[in-house]
Amino acid sequence: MEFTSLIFLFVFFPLFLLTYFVCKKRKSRNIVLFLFSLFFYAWGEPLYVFLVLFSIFVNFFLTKLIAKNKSKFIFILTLVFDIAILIIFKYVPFLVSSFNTITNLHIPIPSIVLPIGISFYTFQMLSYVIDVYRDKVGVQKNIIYLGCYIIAFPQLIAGPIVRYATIEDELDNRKENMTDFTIGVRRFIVGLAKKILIANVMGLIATEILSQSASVYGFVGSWIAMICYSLQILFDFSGYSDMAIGIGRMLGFHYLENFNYPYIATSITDFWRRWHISLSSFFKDYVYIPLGGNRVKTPRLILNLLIVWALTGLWHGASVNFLLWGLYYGVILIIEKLFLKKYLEKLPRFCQHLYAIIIIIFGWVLFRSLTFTEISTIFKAMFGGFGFGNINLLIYINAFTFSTYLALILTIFMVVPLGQKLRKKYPRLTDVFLGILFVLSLLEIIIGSYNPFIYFRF
Amino acid sequence: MKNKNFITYFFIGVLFLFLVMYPVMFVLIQKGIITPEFSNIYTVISEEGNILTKLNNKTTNIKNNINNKLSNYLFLYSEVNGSYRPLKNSFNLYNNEFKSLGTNSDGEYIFQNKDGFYILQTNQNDDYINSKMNENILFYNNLGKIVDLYIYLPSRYEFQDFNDAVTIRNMADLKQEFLAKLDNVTVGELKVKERDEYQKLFYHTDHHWNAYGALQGYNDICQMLNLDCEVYQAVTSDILYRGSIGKMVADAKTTDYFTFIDEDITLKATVEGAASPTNFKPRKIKTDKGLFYDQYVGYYNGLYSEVTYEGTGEDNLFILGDSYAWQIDYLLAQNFAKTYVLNPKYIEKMNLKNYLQENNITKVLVLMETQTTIFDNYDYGYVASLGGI
Repeated sequence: MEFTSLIFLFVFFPLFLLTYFVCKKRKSRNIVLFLFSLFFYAWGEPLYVFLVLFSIFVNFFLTKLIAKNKSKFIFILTLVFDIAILIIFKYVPFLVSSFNTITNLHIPIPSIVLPIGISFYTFQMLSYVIDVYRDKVGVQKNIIYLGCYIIAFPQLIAGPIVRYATIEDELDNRKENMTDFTIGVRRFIVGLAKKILIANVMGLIATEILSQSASVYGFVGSWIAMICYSLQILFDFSGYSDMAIGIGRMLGFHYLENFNYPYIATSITDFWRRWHISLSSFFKDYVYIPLGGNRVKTPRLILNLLIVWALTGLWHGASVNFLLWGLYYGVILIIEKLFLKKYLEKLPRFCQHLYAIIIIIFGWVLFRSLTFTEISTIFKAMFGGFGFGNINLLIYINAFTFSTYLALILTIFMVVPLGQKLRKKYPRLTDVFLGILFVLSLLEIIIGSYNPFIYFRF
Repeated sequence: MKNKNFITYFFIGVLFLFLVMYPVMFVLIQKGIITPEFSNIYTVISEEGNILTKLNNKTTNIKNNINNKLSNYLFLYSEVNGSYRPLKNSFNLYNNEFKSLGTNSDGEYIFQNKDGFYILQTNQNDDYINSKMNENILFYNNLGKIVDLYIYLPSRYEFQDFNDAVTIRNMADLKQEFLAKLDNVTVGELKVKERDEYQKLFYHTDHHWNAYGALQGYNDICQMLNLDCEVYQAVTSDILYRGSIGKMVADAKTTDYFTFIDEDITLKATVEGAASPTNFKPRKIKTDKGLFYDQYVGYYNGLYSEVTYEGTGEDNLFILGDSYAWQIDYLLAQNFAKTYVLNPKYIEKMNLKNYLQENNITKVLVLMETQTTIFDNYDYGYVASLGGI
């Protein structure tokens, strides 16, 4: 179920809020959250809901044993179990196909439907298991509460990756109140508007341009398409995170921020401190630092960074382009870390932004394209290899519309912290503005059918 | 705006308003007090296969059904679609007098001129078009070697030689390239010189030719096949018609009237191997339907893979025809002993060569949208389904 669907907005969510707040006790509210979350997941994946339940069940009992016996063996067994499920359901087809390519064999590639949100909830389970083993958090004794942590519908299918430590206390002791609820509502509307009024519009333009031949879209079309795609992926993903954080806040959970205006970064190192923060901090804490972090010699540091970024790429999807995308950032971060950063810092700030944004846009070419041919075609077009391009294409694909103008205006407010500043200065006025955005988003949802969430399959 | 929680009350108020209105709308629609103008069509997935597939498909069907109902019973659904979409579109830029209005469900681009006339343009790229066109040319040229092959192009706007066509590639030139490469094929085309003349032959809100266009096509085809055909007249009904493009952009302003050929012709027909069902080609204009009812499909009902007519001629004819052919296939069929009509959209894997031999067919007419004929715009894959030649 998507947050932007009619069934979520006008049926599931109001019914959930009603049931949740009718219940007075913490335990009953958690049961309501758990049951509604199961339904939410089952709506998208009726069969895989049993897989999630099975995972929760196994993790619940094994972590209890870990806490009780401090057994490294059970700890490793639990990690193997969680990672094995992720590999089986997400990576087996990719591994078999890669094996076939390398060995020239023809082993049949199994057809496995990827469970929605498996990368997100597996990482949440892993963080819980590791933190229990490290004694950073206490073991959860109530399976429903653990279930609430793993499959709470706000962050179940597209993150952010919530650490157990973040909500350990709130699972039992959170306090829902009107102030938090209103902050949550504002955040939800911002996320909804990002997704519906910006990401979908930009996504449509990018898709329509790039579905034409490179000789038609050429230099100008490829740049417009990739800029639109860059905005689409930012507002798609950060919009979803906003909605998740917003709903969490309505229920009294304080999830950590996942984005911090990533496109105002001045370097790629800065960008990854601002983009998908919950994922980069996960890899930092659970992979990079255990590998030795910065306190190793340069060759080992390079290896560590490449491992982390290869994994980051593969986390996004089981295909070569994601691996390439991860390694691309790994190499750039190594270059920045070893020598480029000190030169970058001497450049005017505008040049630093320009450097970062161009590197990011090139990165999205790798991220978006599924084949080497597609990658090389777009790059060739971006460097003028197919000529200037037919400017008429933009009218042909209906790029100059009310929706586009609105998306561009909203982008200015949301890609930099301008909206946030205005909120502080004119709180009442921004609430009216949010009300208008909410109505516009609903109107778009009602008439629109183009509504894919990019991050669902990760 | 003194209340600091105003946004929360507004948010919750809107969500619960829509929730509460669902049962109200359900009752009003069931009682016939409200008629929903938009009925979303969803595809029912076959529930065959192993237990997991069955279960999965069953739940998908249930979900689709619920989602469909949630749209149709949504409070203000028709009003929002009917007013917000045109309002939004009013800001769109014009190009050569045509305003781009987005895409239809097939992804084709919709344009409208200031007279309210719609045109539809392909969304396929050059790579697809060129590869499919070459495949089709080979198919037609080979087919032309074993039968008398006739191709009729009911050319829409972008294939006509108008200088103001909105396009990112010249489709008229593409058509010429296609025609130049054909061999052993007789070709006819619905050709007009002026835009005003064109607008009389096609619906304003639909991508189909109207009865006047179809009748002109019929006369051209009769001449092309050297047939001594009956002469018919087209009639404009007083029933307001909203074609598929007008429906897609929720245009309630542009006026279109349903047109038809006023002759009571009844031929013996077999539909998909069985006696024709009563609703096959009923040729009745529905007056009790809403503005967005598809009169074209309702009037002709040709959504079948194979139709066979029995006429009074000597030869047998095979028509590879889509919805453009529905208006005149039965008129042409009077002149043949048997006419076999296959719809490219629904053809299952077969061997056309054997089919032609088994049914003693010596004449073949291709009568589909020009872009389907030239480059299989909707990727039906009919050349492969017909087994190539």
